[in-house]
Amino acid sequence: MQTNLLYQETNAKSIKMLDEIEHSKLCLWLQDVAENRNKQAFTHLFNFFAPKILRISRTKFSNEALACEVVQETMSNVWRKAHLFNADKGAATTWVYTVMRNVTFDMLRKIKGNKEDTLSEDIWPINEPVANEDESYEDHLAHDNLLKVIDTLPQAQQEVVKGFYLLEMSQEQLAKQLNLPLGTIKSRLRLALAKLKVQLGDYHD
Amino acid sequence: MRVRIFEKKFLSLIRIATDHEGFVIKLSTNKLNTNNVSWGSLVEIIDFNQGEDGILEIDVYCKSLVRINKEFVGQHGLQFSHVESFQHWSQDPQYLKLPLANLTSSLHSTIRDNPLLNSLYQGKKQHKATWVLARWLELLPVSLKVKSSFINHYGCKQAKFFVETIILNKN
Repeated sequence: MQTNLLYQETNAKSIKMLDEIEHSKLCLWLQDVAENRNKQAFTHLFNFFAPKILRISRTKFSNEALACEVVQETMSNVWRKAHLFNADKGAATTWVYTVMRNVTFDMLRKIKGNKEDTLSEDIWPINEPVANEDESYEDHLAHDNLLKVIDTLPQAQQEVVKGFYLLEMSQEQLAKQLNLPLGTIKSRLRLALAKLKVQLGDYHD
Repeated sequence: MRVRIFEKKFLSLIRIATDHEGFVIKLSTNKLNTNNVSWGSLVEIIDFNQGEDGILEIDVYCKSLVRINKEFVGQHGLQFSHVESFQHWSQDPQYLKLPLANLTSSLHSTIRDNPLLNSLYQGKKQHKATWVLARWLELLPVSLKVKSSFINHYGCKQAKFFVETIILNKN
């Protein structure tokens, strides 16, 4: 058992060291791709990065095809943009993983966009719904709720809100002002709207 | 009409409006699909002051009603548009003396009893029938679509019948 544990630890370290050793190699390959369009160097890069990128992207996308697409897209970006890599600014791995991250974000964004498109077709009726007849005499500002909330504000703020946004009176205010029951105001509003329609026929905006 | 300027973008509005011909006040609702009113009031700033709470207050006067063409959002989130003025029955002198029975007195008492409205309408023109009708249409709790119909479809007489039905129960 002890031997096994020791062996594992040693193994882990050696992978890390291997990475460090390969760092300069990766830089050379990238340089070779950038300057000479060397396919052999790119193959080395591909063999090194592809499995790593695939492993990471599998955690981001449940779909295997999408994960593979991240690999393909990232590596073709690496091929096209190798000249942008600067060894003085950071490790080759950092650069490639940044390219991968951008590709991943783009794809996630695209998926999100597609999702919205699909959804909107379902929920967006082609013809706008005809306004409900009842709405026109129901209290369309939802004054009941709105005014209650506004009434809880301090006086100065109440005036700010009311002064600009609520020019018109609520049905309750109108009833109180005219000294009539609320039901009477409602039925008069309904009657007035009905008569209006008769006078000129229904109008369409 | 007195308007209180309490948002930063409206300060920018005032700055731009004073360099130009004024600005347009447009009614809107926050309901989806119904906020496209294509008309507004082109107003001129005729006075300004600071309210008791330090908020800038301006008095505006409606020069004319305007048709609003395609709008676009510009600086500071303000909306800009090309507008053209049009004639409306509220400006037609032939209706100035239209007999309104008790509509004038009921409007008068409504404004008088409500300090907010009283300060809002600085220049009260209750001797003008068109002013009284326009204020009633502003105050009545009917949807913006109905209010707009008195701009686009119905004339002064229909407006009078409409307000009378609600306020005076005239059939």
